[in-house]
Amino acid sequence: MALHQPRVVPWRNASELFNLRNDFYPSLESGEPDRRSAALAKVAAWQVRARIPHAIEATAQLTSALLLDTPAATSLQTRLAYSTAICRFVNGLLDPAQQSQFALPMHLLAKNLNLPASFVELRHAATHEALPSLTVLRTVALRALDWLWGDYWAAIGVESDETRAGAEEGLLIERARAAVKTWRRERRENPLRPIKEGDSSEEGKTVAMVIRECAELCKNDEGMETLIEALLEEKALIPAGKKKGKMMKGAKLLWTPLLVQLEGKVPGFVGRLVEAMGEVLKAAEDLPAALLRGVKKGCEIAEDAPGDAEFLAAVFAWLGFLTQKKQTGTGCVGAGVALEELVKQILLQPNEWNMQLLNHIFTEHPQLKPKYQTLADLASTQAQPVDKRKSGEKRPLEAIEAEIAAFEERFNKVQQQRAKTRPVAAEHEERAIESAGKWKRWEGAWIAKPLGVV
Amino acid sequence: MPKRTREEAVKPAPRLSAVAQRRLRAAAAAAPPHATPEPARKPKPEKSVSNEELAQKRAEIEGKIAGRVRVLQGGGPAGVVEATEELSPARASPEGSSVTVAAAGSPSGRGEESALARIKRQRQEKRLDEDVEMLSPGEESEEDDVMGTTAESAAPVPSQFSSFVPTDENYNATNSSMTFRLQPGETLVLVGIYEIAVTKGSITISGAKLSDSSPKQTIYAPTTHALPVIEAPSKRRRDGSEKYLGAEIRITSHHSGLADIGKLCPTFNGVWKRPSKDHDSRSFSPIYSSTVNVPTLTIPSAWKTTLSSLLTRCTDGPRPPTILLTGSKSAGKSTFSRIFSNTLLTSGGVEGIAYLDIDPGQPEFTPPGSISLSILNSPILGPPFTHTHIPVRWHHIGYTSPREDPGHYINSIIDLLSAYRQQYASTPLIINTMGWTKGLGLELLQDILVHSQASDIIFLGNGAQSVSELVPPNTATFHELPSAAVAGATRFTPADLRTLHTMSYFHRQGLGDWNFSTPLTAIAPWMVPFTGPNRGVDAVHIMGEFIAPSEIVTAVEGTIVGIVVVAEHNFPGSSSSDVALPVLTAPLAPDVAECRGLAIIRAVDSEQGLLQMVSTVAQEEVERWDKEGLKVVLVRGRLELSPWEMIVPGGGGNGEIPWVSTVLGTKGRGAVWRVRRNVMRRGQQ
Repeated sequence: MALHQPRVVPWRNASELFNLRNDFYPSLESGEPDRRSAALAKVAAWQVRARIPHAIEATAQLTSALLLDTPAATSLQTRLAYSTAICRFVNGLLDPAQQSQFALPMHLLAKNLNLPASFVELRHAATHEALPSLTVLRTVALRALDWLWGDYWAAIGVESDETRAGAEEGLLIERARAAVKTWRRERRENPLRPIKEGDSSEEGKTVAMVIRECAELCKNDEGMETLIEALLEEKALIPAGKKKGKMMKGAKLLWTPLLVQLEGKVPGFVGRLVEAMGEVLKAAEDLPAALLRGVKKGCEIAEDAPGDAEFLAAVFAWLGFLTQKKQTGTGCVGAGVALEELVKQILLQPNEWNMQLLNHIFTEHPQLKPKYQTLADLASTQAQPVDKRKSGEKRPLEAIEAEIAAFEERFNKVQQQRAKTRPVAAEHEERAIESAGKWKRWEGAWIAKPLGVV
Repeated sequence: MPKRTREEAVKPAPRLSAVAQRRLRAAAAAAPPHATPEPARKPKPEKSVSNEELAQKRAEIEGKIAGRVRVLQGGGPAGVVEATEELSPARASPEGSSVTVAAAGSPSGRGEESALARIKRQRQEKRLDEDVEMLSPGEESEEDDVMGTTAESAAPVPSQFSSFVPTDENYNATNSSMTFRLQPGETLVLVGIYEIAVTKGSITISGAKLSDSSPKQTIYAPTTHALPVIEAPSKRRRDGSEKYLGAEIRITSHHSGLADIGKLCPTFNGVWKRPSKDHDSRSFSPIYSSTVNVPTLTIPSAWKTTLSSLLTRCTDGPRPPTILLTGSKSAGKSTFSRIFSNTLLTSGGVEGIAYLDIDPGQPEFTPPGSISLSILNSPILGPPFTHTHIPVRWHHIGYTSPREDPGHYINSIIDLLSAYRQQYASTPLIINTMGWTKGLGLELLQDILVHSQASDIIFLGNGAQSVSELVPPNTATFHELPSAAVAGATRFTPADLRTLHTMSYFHRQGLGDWNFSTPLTAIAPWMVPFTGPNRGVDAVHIMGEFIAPSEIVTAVEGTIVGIVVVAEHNFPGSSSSDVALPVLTAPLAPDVAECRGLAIIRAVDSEQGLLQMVSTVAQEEVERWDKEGLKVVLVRGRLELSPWEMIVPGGGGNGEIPWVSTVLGTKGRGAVWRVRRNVMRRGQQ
């Protein structure tokens, strides 16, 4: 796409403009709330940002006059409001059309713009003659809004990038789901059947197609995210139904070959999948610890775990599986998992779930232990058993005091450690966090982002 | 497009043999000048012969220096007049021929159009400029000392810019510097950024007199504004002493971040270069003559008497004068005030000058939308965007014209005037007003006259009568002067210049130091909490219309705001809930609140209650507000930010760029109502 000179527009994106259109021109179906006042507030805010197109300004002014036209306002107030809105509508439209050195008659300009001459007449009357009657003004204001619809608003949003992107997103998830579904249907009967290149059987062809489609989807970040989303739905990596625990083994058998194939075609896919799973778990702090304990025993899921929790437990089980030593070796499914990254993430936001996973990783990969053990110990004191915290019971004073003492001890330890490494660390810190009064500089590296992107 | 025949005649077509080329050139030289289809050509000045000689000599020396062209004798009158300093290496034949004559191509490739076409284009451009001026909200205050008044006086090309002609004796160049020995009365024009050191004698530049005892000065001379002229004084000193007449100056490169502005905003590409091919490692280049219209600045002789009488008043008078500058748009008010300040400051008579900068459309020292009081101690040697500084007292007007809130504008001026009286009453005061002298503008001017008690009112340009009627007859002197004579026009509109100034402000890193290699979107922002006890911003105030609380963020996110501080006891309190951006509905009075800088709210993080802000306000300054318990209010006027500052150059940021459209604007449909005030009625001419 040829990039044109960028210009500033008052709307944040095309959909904001599209929404404004729908607020100003509500559909005829009853039951939709009148959003015209909100639209006027939006336009007022836009005018603080930048100059707005005349069509929008005129629509707002005409709408404002229409909303004023209630028995609460005097007839003169209403007539003045209508008159001003109509005069400004016509002038703003015709003035830019005055391109020559000498003024052309307005009727001529109006004709070129397909603007009915009656608008020009009314403008003239409202400016120079007796103020037109309310009935006339009302009719003309409504006609003006219609005219603006046809001239400006009707074209808004149809071709907007925003809606197209939305449609594409919808398309992506459909494609991803279809691929996942096909895989399950084809492989469910015989999950152990080897996948060979150039397999000419019906099943082989379909499977190859699914892999191709998935790899195709992963060509851009958005597609990859969508595929991962589809995989993390029930009936995909996560078994459907209540007794997920029992079905995990089967799920692993069914899906691991696909993951292996994808990792081969799209290096880093499984790594990204593990990250996404970690994020799912992070959002799931409320998972009963009892459930976790059930999982601990050989990565099996307790049978009594309720629905949502079961889902999370299944995710956890997958994480445990993908970080196993034998799965992370070269050529295996988890080869692309960035274990150290995962460990760091866990240490940053420790909770009981994460710590469990961490212990699992340490057991599987003892070589990581020395490097992170100190931090892990610190983190584990922070990760309180979830059920205890949530129990709502009043904790005895001693328990709270003990906890405070533990915190203090940890604090001292941290300070001592800092003191030891001060020369380098302190300097580094000063550079990292710059502050002035109550203003603090963004911490860490800043990646350039357009204005408006947090 | 018709081409000048002489150009065609002398321009060597690549396929021609050297002999043929020479023949063609001879033909061109023989052609009488009036044969050229150049209707706008003015009668030749009497001095034309010497001019020709000068030009020829210059061409010779240039040739020697460049080591590329040996100059043969020849060239009739026409050829000489057309000689330019541009020597394209590609066109210089090794066996030596005459100086290649080429129309120096302007960056936009306009170099080869005919004079008629150019004049037409300039007329057209001027008209367009006016259109743009008309549409901008601050159009009454549009003023630029270098703009306008040019189409009528556009001289035939090439124009002479410097009377100085380099020879072996008076000129010497190294890789980074050039030394010039100017004879009395000689002038020299340079474009770019350079340092000037006077090694012998003295010179004047933009009214500043520099001698061998003056410190080295940095000069900013972009083509956005009229280029300053270096001039060696023509007269013998009054005391008759046999001092060195003329001057020797050394010009050295000054590499400034400001030179990179074109990298971020293509509109300003090449403003530091000679409008011809420039392959120079130096940050400046001299312009002796050029076919391209480069604006230069000459001080009208009519100004000189007024200037010197005012100077005497400043140094010898019983009380320092208050000089108010007014006049029509683009008459040269800023130029006059700059020249006056420079002359005064370098004459040694005063310690400093107070400068009341009250044209919010094109301020001298602050970015647009502000008015301020400054104390000057050193000459101003560049256009406004090259010397933005932190004034003594600063008020944020928020608009580029006072018409949106005349009351706030006048109150702000009254406050600045009282700051002047309290602290600097013994210093001469210059008041540079906006160029709006009709209707409301005239009424505002009257208010300013009354409150400032100006002793001298200087009116530049036409239409002095309405203003002179305002002047009280016994207390003040009214001076009516012609507008600044500017040769050549710039291609920049007042809106462009505002963009330039605003960008310059946000990229400055201190006085005379800019960083244009880091875009604003790549600067780690300040994270300022707007909720809770540790809030670093106490309220947001939106000038003008009432904005619904739900739309406050819509209105201010990604915009320029003024940072206004106010003592706690004068802070009226804001409508603060714990989550939303606190809003101040009533404006702050200028006598209790002052602006300390501008910021860009790059994003609002409502979840964390943080504003991400980009600002050049010094860290110590922000700390001071905290220590002194000042309340910080962000004031949103209507200042505009260039779209180039909102994007990440070269992409980034996941595709969507909020508030920026790169889709081609729909012609006509959906256009902003741009007001045009120069439409004429039939029978009104």
